[in-house]
Amino acid sequence: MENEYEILPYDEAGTVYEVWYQGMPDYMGTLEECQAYVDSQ
Amino acid sequence: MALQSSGQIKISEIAAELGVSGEPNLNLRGLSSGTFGAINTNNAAADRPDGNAPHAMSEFYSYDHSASAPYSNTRYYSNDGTGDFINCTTSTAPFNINTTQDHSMSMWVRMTGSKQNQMITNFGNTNANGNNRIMFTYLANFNRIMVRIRSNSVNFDRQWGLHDNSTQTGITSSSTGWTSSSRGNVNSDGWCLLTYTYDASQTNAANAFKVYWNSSVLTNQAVANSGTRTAMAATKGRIGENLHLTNAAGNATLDFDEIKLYNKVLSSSEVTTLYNSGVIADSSQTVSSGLITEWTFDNNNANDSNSKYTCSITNGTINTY
Repeated sequence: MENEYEILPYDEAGTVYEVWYQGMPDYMGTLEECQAYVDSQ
Repeated sequence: MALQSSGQIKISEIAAELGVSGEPNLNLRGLSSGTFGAINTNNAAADRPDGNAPHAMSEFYSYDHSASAPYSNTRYYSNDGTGDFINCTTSTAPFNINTTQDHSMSMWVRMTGSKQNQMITNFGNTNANGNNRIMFTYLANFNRIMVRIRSNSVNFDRQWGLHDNSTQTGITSSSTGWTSSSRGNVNSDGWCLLTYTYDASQTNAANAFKVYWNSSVLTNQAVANSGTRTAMAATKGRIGENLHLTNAAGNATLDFDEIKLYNKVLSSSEVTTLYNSGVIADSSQTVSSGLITEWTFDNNNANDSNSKYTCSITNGTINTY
């Protein structure tokens, strides 16, 4: 289940991640960048 | 079958078309004025007699006594971005999302809201989560339009910045984005035609997906991702909202009309035909080859034309033009 915020791998290599917000990709970056984005919300 | 469009035409041929061959004392005045059988006014005015003297046999050129009423686009669906969506479900999927089944979706949309994520359409095999589906979305943070197959949390997608394709989209600013006051290239009523095509056998997502804005393909790709696809049947669908959520952040602020689903990759020329010079029309007037089903909304409901899905509207409205 994709909840309000989730950080999910974008590519198979695992180098890019996405923040999903309520089922929609909302931000893209490194894992650290995505975590910072979620923390800022 | 319609009468010929030019050349010699006989009274007997007109009578046969009207189904009155057995009538005695046939005459052109009576045939033209409906004495022997009412003229079918579903024919265009140029393709039927006007009933007024002088009567001419040429007025019957292209007359078709069994002509259906011409299509008239009278209604559209509005999804206002607050808990609205069309839900579609079936036990027998009309298409599958995999590496062998091509498909395309085309629809007219009119942006009515501010800059935000837009879930335009998504079809998959479950309402329980968002893992398995093909989604056609606008990503506000990136000002991108995206087609993505997401299966087992792996992405196969292609994305385009609307501002990177401003010639086609008419949207020039990423920061302004796609909004009701920045609709881009639209017809006189504010609508644009969005079409995506999916060439299933392509292993590279950059070759699998195309998106057209009106009749123009987007050429400047932002990114593509070619993760492994796991096959799924499109037994569930939602228009204007995530498959597995209601009133979510991606709830679309879009009006929709003439949503068409095809079992093939539409060609560029077919998309031009669908665009129809900016006139919103159904498949019978544009592209019917390969049509799986379409949502015209002209029957004042969200049913699709070939009953491939059971569809219902939550909160959204059907409006008249």
